Amino acid sequence: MATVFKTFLNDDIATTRTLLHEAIPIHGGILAGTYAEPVDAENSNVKNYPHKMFQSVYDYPFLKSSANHIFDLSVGLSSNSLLLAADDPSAQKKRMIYNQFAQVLVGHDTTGGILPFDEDGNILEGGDKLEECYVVSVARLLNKDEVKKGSFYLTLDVARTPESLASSSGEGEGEGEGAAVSRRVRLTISDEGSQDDYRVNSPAGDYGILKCRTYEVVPVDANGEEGSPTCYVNYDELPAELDGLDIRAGLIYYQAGVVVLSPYIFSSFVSTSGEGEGEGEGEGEGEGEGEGTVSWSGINGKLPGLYCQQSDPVMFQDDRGGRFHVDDAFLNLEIPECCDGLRHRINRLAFNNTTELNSTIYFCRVNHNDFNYSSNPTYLDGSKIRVKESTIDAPVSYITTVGLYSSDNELLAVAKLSESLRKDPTNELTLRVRLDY
Amino acid sequence: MAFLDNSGDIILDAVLTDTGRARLAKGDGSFKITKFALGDDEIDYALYRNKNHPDGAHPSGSAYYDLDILMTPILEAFTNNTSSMKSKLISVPRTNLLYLPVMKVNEVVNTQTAMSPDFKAFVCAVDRDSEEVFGYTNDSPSQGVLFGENSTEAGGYVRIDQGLDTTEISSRFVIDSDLMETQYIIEVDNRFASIISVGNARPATVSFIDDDNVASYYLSHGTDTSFVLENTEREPESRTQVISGPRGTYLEFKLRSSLELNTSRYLFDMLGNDSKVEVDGQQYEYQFIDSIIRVSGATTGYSVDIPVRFVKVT
Repeated sequence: MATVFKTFLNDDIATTRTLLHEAIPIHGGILAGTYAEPVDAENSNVKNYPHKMFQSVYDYPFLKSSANHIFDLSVGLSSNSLLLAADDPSAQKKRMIYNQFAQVLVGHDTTGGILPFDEDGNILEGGDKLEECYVVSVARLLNKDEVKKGSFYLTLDVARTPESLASSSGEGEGEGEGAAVSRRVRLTISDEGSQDDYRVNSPAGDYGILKCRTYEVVPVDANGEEGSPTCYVNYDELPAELDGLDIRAGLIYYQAGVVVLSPYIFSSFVSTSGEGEGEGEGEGEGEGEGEGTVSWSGINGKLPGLYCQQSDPVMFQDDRGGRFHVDDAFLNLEIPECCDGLRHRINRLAFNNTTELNSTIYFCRVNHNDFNYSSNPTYLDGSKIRVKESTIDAPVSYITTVGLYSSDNELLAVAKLSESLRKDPTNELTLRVRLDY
Repeated sequence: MAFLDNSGDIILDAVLTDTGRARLAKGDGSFKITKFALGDDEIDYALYRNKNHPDGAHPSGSAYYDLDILMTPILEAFTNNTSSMKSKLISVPRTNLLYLPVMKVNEVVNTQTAMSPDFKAFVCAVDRDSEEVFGYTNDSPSQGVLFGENSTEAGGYVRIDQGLDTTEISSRFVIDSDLMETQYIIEVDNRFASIISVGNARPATVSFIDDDNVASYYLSHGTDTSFVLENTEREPESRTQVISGPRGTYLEFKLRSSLELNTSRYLFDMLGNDSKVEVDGQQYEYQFIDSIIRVSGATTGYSVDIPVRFVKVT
């Protein structure tokens, strides 16, 4: 009996699950600098809304059809926040944003009250709460099914210091013509290690603790070119006397694709106790190295001590020319203005997303006596098989396509080979056809 | 130590066809893959350079016979279910076959089965007015015209014969049972026509209609006796046969035009063209849609496309 179909047996169908990761690097230039600011809506990749509840960032001017949504930025203040001023016109919106995200990501207590964001995720034991926060909601387009744990990195220029105030404490010996006119204080935050250390007590899935990882001071010359860091500190290698300093910077909710960021990473630095080591470099053609003393500071014991040098604490500027500290900004500015401040400070944002692929693999087993003839019209000359000269010749066919069929002979899926595959009675094949869902 | 040959194990990524997606979206369990078939749509076996080739066997030997075939570039998958797997590979346990059965339109069994000599296609007159214009020439039935409305009374029909079309084997031999086609699949655009039997105009049962409005009819030997019959004519010199060698079964059917073509010009305006025809010295304007009816053998895999022109006088 001639047949054109072969029925799958139970052993011929297998299901698998594969996690596919993509690296998503977002350079700060895309977020601020490459395109116009939101006041120029025609050419801006940042979209502000009349309701002023959040700000959307795209990878291209958002009015263009090829623009892709990257993330939304917003600001939240809990009801207990000291920055929730009654005379702040946007206070209600900030509280709404906070409550909206908190109830989705943290949930409710037994009385139905909304739980605030907890810095260490230990909600039951209380502890420090994130009463003020930035919220970065990554678009599903980039986030896919979830952010890969341990892959999130956010580098922020948390301060900029004029050269007159920011000379390196290291004593460099380099000879150079150029001189830094300012220095960027660059902080890297990440969830390193979260693949083995994450929390599961959120109604929105897994989440990790964001921590400050490295801190560096980068000189910038008059042309805006960055030099080598004059100071580099790895928070994982803090001096013993600084053990216990809080380096937590926020939370990251992996499945939701939401980053809740403490605004106090932008706080001005106060020179306090503690010592560290730094390296200084000369600018220009020559380079030098030296060791110097770096003091450490903290803000109300909340954040790790950063570089001891006095820095420019002004982080935000509104459209009226006002200059604000981060807490002033949260107190006085509207949400999009606060978001502008964060956006301008992001140097790099990178993470790996995860796509969960559920696959069914169909093992198409072609035995030696299967599919050796063809119904291709060119296979026959009249009724004679072209590829055979006599009855003793083996029949030959060439496979280019695998069709998967339902029981009523409807073609449901098709797989193509990259090149034709010879089939004759002397060979057997197993074609593994994968169908992803 | 040599490496193991893993060329016998190949992994391929499949794409869902439009029908597959539609069934998946239904969520009623109709998406269930139960079997597979292999296709070779891109292959031109005339490139096989053995002794049967017009240029003779490849001078470098049998290892080079399929050199050109293996160089054939392969297209990406079509997601339209009707565009892929046009020609399927066939499993026959025997390897000593030199001939395979084919299917041919039999235009000689009688005058009713011939195609229209003007169009080289069957003409389906979709309403009574069109039947009167196209169906008769000088009061005699016109060749190749199928009556779409009044199909029980008159008009032609389509007959497909199956068997080994070779003079090397006498038609007096009975075709091997594994080469006799026992089930035919007719695929016709459901917007245009449906399939009915020749004798009593009994409508065939539609197996399914896909998302492209292509209706598939499965007609089996022994079950659908009005459609599929065994060809008992063994005479080699018979003038009513188109299969020269052993004959298997034949399929015959008529078309019934759809209500939409019968009563409306919408599809003619959208898919068709205008033309004129002169019958018995009088000119008529008409609209037409050209389509194809595909007949495939469910067991032997062979298929034949039948051109059909649906006509409606204006």
